[in-house]
Amino acid sequence: MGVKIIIPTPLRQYTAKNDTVIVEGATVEEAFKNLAAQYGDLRKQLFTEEGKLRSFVNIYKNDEDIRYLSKEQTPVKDNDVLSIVPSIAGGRPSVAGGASPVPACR
Amino acid sequence: MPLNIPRSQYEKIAQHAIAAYPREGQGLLIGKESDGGMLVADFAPMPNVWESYEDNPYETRPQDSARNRTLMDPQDFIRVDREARSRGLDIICYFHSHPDHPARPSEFDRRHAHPFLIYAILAVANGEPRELTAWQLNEDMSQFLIVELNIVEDPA
Repeated sequence: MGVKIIIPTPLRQYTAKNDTVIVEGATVEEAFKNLAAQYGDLRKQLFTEEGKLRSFVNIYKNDEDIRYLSKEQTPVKDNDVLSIVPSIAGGRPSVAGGASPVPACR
Repeated sequence: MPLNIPRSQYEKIAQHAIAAYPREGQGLLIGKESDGGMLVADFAPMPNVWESYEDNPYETRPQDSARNRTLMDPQDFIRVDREARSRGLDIICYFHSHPDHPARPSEFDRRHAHPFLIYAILAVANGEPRELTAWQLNEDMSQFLIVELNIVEDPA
């Protein structure tokens, strides 16, 4: 029993290819501390040096963004599912007036 | 390891990028390792939420818009990851288009890329698909290295 953490593809290299990890913990913070204790290399991907969750990492509890719950203090119980979701973005270099009708990027 | 994209999936990617033009289009490629390459099984197109997502964590300058940026809704990522795993597949590649710009990763792409995920870029010039390229960060995450990309016949 415990909290199930779903590891997305880009981060599975840090969890010995495991796509789910079961951990103990009463809050999201505790669950992730226990996860980071098991997989040290994952810690740097998820947390800043000050121990704060990185801004490009989203955590969902049973499909709800924890930012709209109680953030890291969100309570969790056995059989809850936490998903780590990387922010993914891309883009080309912009030019001044990039919102103009005719993009002219060179 | 080369990225092998069946022709029918390439067509889906190109059609999505054409429909998104002049904005950037995006999506995820799911598949698995096969014959020494990563074989794409499906392309999941996604809306570009750069202009509508409330918690956009990226720096946004006045000149930035969906014409030069893409952002994925995390809910879309969860949905596709779940579907992929139910089919015994993985998310292997993030795709986005570069409207009227070469298929080369930008500094923004490099700084925000995740290692071990392939990034595919399609140049779209005047609404027409041009070059499709694929890239992956090197180990120290300092630069993108080109990944061999092949358009292959559809599996029988």
